[in-house]
Amino acid sequence: MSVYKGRAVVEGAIVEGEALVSSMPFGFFGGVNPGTGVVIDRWHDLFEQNMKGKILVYPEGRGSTVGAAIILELARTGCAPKAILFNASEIITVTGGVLAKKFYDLDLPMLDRFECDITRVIKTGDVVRVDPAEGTVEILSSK
Amino acid sequence: MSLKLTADERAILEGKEGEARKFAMEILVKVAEGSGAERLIPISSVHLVLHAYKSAFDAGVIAAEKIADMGARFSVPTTIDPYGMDAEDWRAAKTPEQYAVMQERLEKAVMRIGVIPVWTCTPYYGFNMPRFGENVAWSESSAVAFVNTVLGARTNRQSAIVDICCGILGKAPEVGLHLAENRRGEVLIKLNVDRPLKDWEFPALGFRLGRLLGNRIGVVDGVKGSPVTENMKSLCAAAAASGSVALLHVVGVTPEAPTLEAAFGANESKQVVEIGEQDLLDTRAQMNTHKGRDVDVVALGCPHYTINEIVNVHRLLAGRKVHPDVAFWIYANSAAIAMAEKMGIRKELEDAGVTFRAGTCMIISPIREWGFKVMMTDSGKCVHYGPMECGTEMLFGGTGECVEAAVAGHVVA
Repeated sequence: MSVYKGRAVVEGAIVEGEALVSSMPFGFFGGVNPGTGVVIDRWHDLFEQNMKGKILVYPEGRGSTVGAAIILELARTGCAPKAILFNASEIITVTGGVLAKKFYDLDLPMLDRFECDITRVIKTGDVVRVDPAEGTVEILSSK
Repeated sequence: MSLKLTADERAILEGKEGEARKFAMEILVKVAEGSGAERLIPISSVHLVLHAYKSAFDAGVIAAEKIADMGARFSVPTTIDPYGMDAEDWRAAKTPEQYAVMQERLEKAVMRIGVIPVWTCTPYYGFNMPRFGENVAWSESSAVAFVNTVLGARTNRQSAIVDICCGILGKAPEVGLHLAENRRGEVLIKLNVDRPLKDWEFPALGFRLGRLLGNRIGVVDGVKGSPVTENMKSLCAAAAASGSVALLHVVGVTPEAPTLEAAFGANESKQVVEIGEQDLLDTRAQMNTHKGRDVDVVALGCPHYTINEIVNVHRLLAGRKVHPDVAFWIYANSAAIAMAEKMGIRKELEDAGVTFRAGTCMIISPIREWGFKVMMTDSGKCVHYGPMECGTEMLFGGTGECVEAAVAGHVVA
């Protein structure tokens, strides 16, 4: 299956999981209920989907600067995604990954800058393997 | 290139200046590496966004307490976003007891680190105002967009907790909008409205620009007249909420855009977008998630109302009473409310049925306890977050339309 090369902006161990893919920018504040992992943003195409334990894929970050605290709460409640893949990372989301490691010793690897539009090559439901050290994403099986 | 630290910074990382500064530096270094910075630079003020239990949750409170317990102190002036509940009377605002306990724990923690408790999203009105070109490290997306756009100060969108680290160390990663070459326009927006914009058109334009631009820098050409800072505040807030806008150039209005050429610098416009009156009307229609005319609560002050805006509501109300079935709440910081009190208009507005909610806002304080189904506001930012954070359907209009709805008990066509 296909392998895509990007760059790890937040390190972590290799993870495998089911992808949850959006074509829209996403922000965590007003975006997700950190007690459940369910997307609450009524304006968003992932509305009512659950990101817990998923490989979350979206084009870029958006919205509130308090987003990093929401990611930290997701880490505390165990409802965080396993990894985040985007075309362009931004400081708010990256910070959430750094804080998750620092305060809860949780790996929440984040990769960006793929050679392609990562939101187009991975489909929701695909099982993918994320290797932060190599900066790669492999699609293991497709729906 | 990778991040290079000075000898002093390395000493902090090695713990020579204590546990708190070491901890803050460890976080800041990780974030700097993740964002591709080559060095840290001095910043002269910070504005924090770890301010309300509603958005900080337990993890945020625990994190603030952990940092305070290490004996951390801010080394540069550090202000903070609105309080997570009515700062004058949280019980009257139906704040759940358990929420209040957590809010007070968060308050105690940030106070121990030395925060200046302005409790406002508009610290630049009267408390914390950077000059043109000054490097600062602010969070609060609307304030970041305002100080970059309107004042020409330089800050990235700092995030919760990293902002605390920046305040402790007086430093931030040198990336993004700290660098002149990253502040130039990328998308040209030709505004085809041959008159000064009406008050509701500023947040509607912002709402549209946020969706259009994402995190790209827009250059708006064609704004007529002379927008006041309150217009720019609502424009920036809406754009920062519906997108990730941290800097806009408005030709002839904002300091880095005296001309179209200056706003783009060496950049070529990557995209040209035309926006006319009908587009703003279309955006306005999208902003109304509620299709009826009934209103439960009129909520103004997102971002916090200035004293000028409170005076404007007093003038628009013109001695009339708020409809008994409608709640009419104004959110403002303690300084604006104190001024309204001195002027005597706080009492007049309260006698007319208006409630002041001090130092907090509809988005970051508990409001679901009131059971409101429909909220009307003049704020594009509030329209964006209201459905999720207030559990209401939204109606949007100019301040005058909001006041008329509050008096009539429903939207007046």
